[in-house]
Amino acid sequence: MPAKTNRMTGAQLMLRALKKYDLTTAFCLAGTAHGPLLMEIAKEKIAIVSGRNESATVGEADGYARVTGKLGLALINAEHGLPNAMTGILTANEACSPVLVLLTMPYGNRADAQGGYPSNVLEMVSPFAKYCQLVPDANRLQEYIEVAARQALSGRPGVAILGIPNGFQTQAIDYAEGINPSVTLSPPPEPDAGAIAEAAALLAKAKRPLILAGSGAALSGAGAALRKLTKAFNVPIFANALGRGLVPEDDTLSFSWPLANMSAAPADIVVVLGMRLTQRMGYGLAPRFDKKAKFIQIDIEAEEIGRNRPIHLPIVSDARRAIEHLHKALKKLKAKPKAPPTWIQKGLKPRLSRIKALAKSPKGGPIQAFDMARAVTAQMPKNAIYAGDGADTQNWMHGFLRVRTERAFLDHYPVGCMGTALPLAVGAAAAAKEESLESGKKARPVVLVSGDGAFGFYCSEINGAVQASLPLIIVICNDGAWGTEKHGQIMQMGTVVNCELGHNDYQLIGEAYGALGLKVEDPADLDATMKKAFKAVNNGPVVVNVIVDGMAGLVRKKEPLIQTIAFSDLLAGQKAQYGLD
Amino acid sequence: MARQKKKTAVPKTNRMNGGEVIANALAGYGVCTVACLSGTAHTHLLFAFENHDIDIVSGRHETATVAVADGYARVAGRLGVALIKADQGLPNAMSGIITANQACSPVVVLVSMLPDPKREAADEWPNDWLDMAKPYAKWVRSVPSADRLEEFVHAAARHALTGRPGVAVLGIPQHFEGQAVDAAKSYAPVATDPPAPRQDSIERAADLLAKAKRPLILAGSGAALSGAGPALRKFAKAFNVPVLANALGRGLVPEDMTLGFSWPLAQVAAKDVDVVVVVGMRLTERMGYGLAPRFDGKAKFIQIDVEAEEIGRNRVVDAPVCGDARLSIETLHKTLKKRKVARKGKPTWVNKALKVRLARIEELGKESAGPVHPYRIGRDLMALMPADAVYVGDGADVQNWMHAILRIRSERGFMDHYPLGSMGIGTPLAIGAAAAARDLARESGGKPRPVVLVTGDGAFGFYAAEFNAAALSGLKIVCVISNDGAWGTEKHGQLNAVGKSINCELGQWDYHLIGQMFGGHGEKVETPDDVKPALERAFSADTFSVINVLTDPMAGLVRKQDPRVQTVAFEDLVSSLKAHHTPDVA
Repeated sequence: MPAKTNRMTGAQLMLRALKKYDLTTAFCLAGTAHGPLLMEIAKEKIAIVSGRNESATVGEADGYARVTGKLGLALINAEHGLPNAMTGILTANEACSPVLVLLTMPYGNRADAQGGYPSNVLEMVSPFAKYCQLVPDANRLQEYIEVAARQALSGRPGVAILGIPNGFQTQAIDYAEGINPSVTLSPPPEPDAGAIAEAAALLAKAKRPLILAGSGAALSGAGAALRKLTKAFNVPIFANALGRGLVPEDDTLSFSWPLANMSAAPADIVVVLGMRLTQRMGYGLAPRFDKKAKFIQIDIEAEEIGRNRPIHLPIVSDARRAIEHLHKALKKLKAKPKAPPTWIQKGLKPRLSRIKALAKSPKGGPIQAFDMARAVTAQMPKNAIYAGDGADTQNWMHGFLRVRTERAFLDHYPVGCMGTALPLAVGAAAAAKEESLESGKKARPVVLVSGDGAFGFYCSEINGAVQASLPLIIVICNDGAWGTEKHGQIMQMGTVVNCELGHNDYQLIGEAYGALGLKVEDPADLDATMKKAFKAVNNGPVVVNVIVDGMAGLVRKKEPLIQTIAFSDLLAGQKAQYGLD
Repeated sequence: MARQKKKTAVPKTNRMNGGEVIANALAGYGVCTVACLSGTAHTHLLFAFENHDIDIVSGRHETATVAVADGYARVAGRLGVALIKADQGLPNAMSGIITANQACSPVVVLVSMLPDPKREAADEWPNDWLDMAKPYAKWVRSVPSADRLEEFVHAAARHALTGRPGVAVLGIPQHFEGQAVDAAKSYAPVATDPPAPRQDSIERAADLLAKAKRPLILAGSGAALSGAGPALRKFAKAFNVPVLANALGRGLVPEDMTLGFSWPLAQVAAKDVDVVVVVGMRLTERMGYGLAPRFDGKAKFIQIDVEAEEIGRNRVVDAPVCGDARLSIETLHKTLKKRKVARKGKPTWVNKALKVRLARIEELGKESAGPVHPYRIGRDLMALMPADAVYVGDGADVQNWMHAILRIRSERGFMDHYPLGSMGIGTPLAIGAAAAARDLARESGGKPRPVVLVTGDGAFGFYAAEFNAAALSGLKIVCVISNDGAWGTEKHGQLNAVGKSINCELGQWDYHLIGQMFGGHGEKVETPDDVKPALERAFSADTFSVINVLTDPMAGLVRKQDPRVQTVAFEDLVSSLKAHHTPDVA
C-alpha cells in the first residue's frame, strides 16, 4: 500500500501537474469556482490575467499560446460559462493552439434529475475541441491534467478541456506521492525518405516553385529551416496565419499570402507546409493557382492532406523536419538556386501602386483606411506583435503590414468570429510582458487593429489589460458601420439596412477602464497620434479611435486589384474541379 | 432615430423572393420588431421587413441579438424574432439561445447558412451547422428548398409559441432569401386552444385546498405565458390565498405584501404552509426543490403545468394537474365555488414569517453619507418607478439586494437572466423589453412602460456595446450599475471562506462613459443622497441612461454572513436533497 506521505489538496496537485508545462501566466474569469487553485497559483510567481467573458478568457490563453508556443491555460466555470466560451474554444481549436481549459463543474449532488441541460454539460463542447474529459476522481487530477496537456500540445495541437467537479480542488489527496503518471511527449514524426527525394527532384526541376507556409510551420518551429532553404535556393514563400513572419516579409523572397495571393498563378510547383487548403487559400485551385501546377503537401496530420484538391506528392511529417530533410536532399542533388522570383513582384506591382495611391487622405479628411494602415505600420518596430480583427479592416492592413518576426501575427481566422482578436491581443501582450520581465528588455508592443463593429464584442477585456499593465495598443479603424456588409448591400441593392453604427467615441471605453484614449479625425494628426500611442504603450494599454472614411469599403468591393481577402472569383475554380452547375 | 417608413403594398399572390415570403409569414404573427446583427447574410429579408414597416433593432453580439428577441417576447407576449448567421454567429449565440429556451420565451432564430457549394468535405465542423444548438433549443430545422420557406417559417413559429413555448432555430441557406418562389400557399398561423385540465384532477386539487388552513400559490413564468393574471388575482382575493411569484410570474398578482409577494423575498414564509399550488413553475434549486427546509415536509403539493413531464420535478406531487395555467385556475375557482369552500383567514402568517427579515432590511442602507448601499438604489427606484414599469435584473449580489426592496406591480414587469443565470444578458433583455413597450404603446396610443435595468459592474461588461442598439433605435432604458468594483459575490465568497480574495477585483471604473459615448445620458454617483436626483434625471432623459453608482465594496460580505438578507439562498438546501434522495451523499 502506497504511503500516505505529503498529503496535499487537489488544487496543490493540479498546480504540481501544471508547473511541468512551465506555467507562468494563467487566464481566469473571476474566482470562487477555481478559488483553491488560484490561491495556490498566487503563492508562486505566476501571473493571473483577469477575463470578463469566457470566450475572451479562452481567447487570451490562445493568444498567449500562439506567441509563446507554450500551453495556454484558461480557467472558467461550466454552468453559466461554457455557452459563453464556445467561440473562444472553436477559435483556438481551429487555429491549432495548444490550450487547456479547466472547467469547474457543479457538484453531482446538486444536479437536478430533470435539468434543462443534457446530463453532461461537456457534451456541448466535445465536438468542437480536440479532447474533452471529466475528471472522475480527485486522486486522478494529475493524471488527467497531464493527459490533457499532452493532447493539447502534441500531434496537431488543439484545445483540451477538463471538467473538474467542484470540491475536488479542496479534497485531500490520499496518495499524492504514489501518483506518477508516465506522460510522454513524443518526438515529432520524420518524413518518408523516398518522398523527400521525390520532392527534391520536383523542386530541382521547377522553374517557379513556391512554398505556402501556414500555422503548422510555426507550430513545429520551422522558421530557421525555412529561412535557410528559401535563401539557399531562392524559393519564394507566401505565408498565412501564424506562418507569417517565419521568413521576414521582405517583398523579395517572402510575402504575405493575402497581399500576394493574386501572384501565385505562375508557380509550377507548390509546396504546402502546415496549412489547410481552404477557401481562403483559393482551395489550391484555379484561378488562384495554375491548373497544371503540381502540389506537394507536408502535414503532420495525414487526414489533412488532400483537402479540396488532389495532391501530387503527400508527405506526412513534422514541418520543420520535412524542410530540413528537403534542404539536405536538394543539396545532395546539387540543385542550383533559382533565378530571383521577380515574377512575384511583377504580379504585385499594379496592386501595390494602387494601394499606395489610395493611401493618401485628402487634406482635412476624411482619413482613408489605407492611410490608417500606413500610419500604424510605420510606427511598428520590427519585433512588434500584430493582431488583426474585423473584415474590411484586415483587408486594409494586409496591404501595408509586413511581419518580420516569428509568432508575431494573430487573427480571428480560420473561424473568423468577429472580435476574438482583442482577447488574442491581450494574451499576446501578457506573453510579451512576461518575456520582458525575464529579459529585462523593453516589452514587444502588441498592436491590435480592429474594426469598430468587431471592437464591440469583447471591449471590456481592456479591464484585464489595464490591471496587468500590458503593452497593448488597440487601434480602431472606425468607419461607423459593419463596413463589409454595408458595402455589400450598396453593391447589391443600392441602399443600406441595419449596417450603420455611427462613428462612436470608442476611445472613451478605453478611458472608462483607465487606459489612455486617443481619437484622430484629421489626416494631419494621424502620424503624430500613432507616435504618441507607441510611446505611451510602455505605461500600459492605449486605445486609438481612428475615424476613417465611411465609404472606403466601396472601392474594395469594386476593385479586385485591392482585395487582399477575396472569394468572389473562386466559385469558377470549384465548378471546374467538381463539375458543379 | 426615426426610420423612413415605406408604404409599399405587399402583393398577396404571385412570385416574390424568399425574404418577402419570410417577412409575410412572420407579419401574420403580429411581429412588429425584429432583432438582427448587421446585414448581408439576410439582405433580402431585411429589405422585406422594411416594406412591412417592421422595426429592426441592431445587435452587436449574437447572444445579445437573440436576447433582444427574448426580452421582446417576454414583455410583448408575442413572437420574438432574431436574425443571425451560422458559420461565425451561432457559437456566439449559444448563451442567448439557452437563456431564452430555459425561460420558455417564444423566439424564432433565423440562421442564415452558407450555400452548399461553399462547404468543404474536409470541414472540421460537424456536417450540419445547426448541430451545436440542437440539444439546447426546442426545435431546430433547416429549410430544404426555397419554395418551402413559408411552410418552415410557420412550423418554427408554431413550435416557438405553442405548448410550453421555447426557441425554434431555423436554418436558411442564404441564397434562398433572394430566390424567386411561388408564395402565398395556404399556410397561416394556427390558433390552437390551450389544453383544459381534466375535471377529476381539478377535484383532487380542490379536495386538498378545501381542507387547507394555510394554502399558498407559487406562480412561475408558465402562469404569465398562459395569461393567468386576472384568474390568479380573482382566485387569490376570493379565497385569501397568498401568491409567491418568481421570474415572469412576478406581478401577475401585484406585490402588495398582503396577497402578492415575490418568492425571493418571501420564501422564508413557505415553511408554514400546508397546501402548495405550483402554477407553471419548475421546482428547481431556486425554489428549494419544493422540499424541506424551504417547505414544511408535510405540505401537500398540487402542481399545474401545461407539460406533463414537468410535473414531479424533484419531489412527489399529491395532485398533478396537466393543463393550461389560466384554464386550470379558472376551473379550480369554479369548482371551489360550487363546493362552497369558505374563504380562508387573512394570510397574516406570511408577514409574520417575514418580520425578522424585513426589520433587518429596514436597518441597512439608511446612511446619507459614506459609500452607497445597494438598498439605497432599490428604495429610490421604488419611489420613482411607476406601477407599470418593467424591471430587468442582472448580476449576482445586486439582485439579492434588489429582491428585498422591489415590488412588482404589473404583469410582464419582471425579468432576469435566470434560470440559466448567464451574466450580462440583462442588457439585451432590457433593450428587447423597451422595443416591446414601444410597440405596445404605439398600438394602444398610450405612453411606453419605462424599462429599468439594474445590473452589477461585472455583468455590465459582457454586452456593453448593445447600448449602441438602444441609441440607434431610440429606445429609452434606465440602466443602473451597482458598481462595487469587483465580481462581488465571488470576492466575498472567497473572503468568507479563506479570508482573502484573488482575481475578483475589477476596479470601480467609469462605466457611465460607455453610455455617454453611444449617445446616452451617463453619470457617476458616489454618495447616497445623490442617487435619487441622478435617477430622476435618468427617468426624464430623452435617451437611455447609464447611472454608474459606486456602491460599498464590502456590502457583499454581510450578504454572505447574514441569512436575513439572503433573498437568493442555496447554502441550506443540500440537506433537502440529502434527506429526499441521497441520504449518504457527503
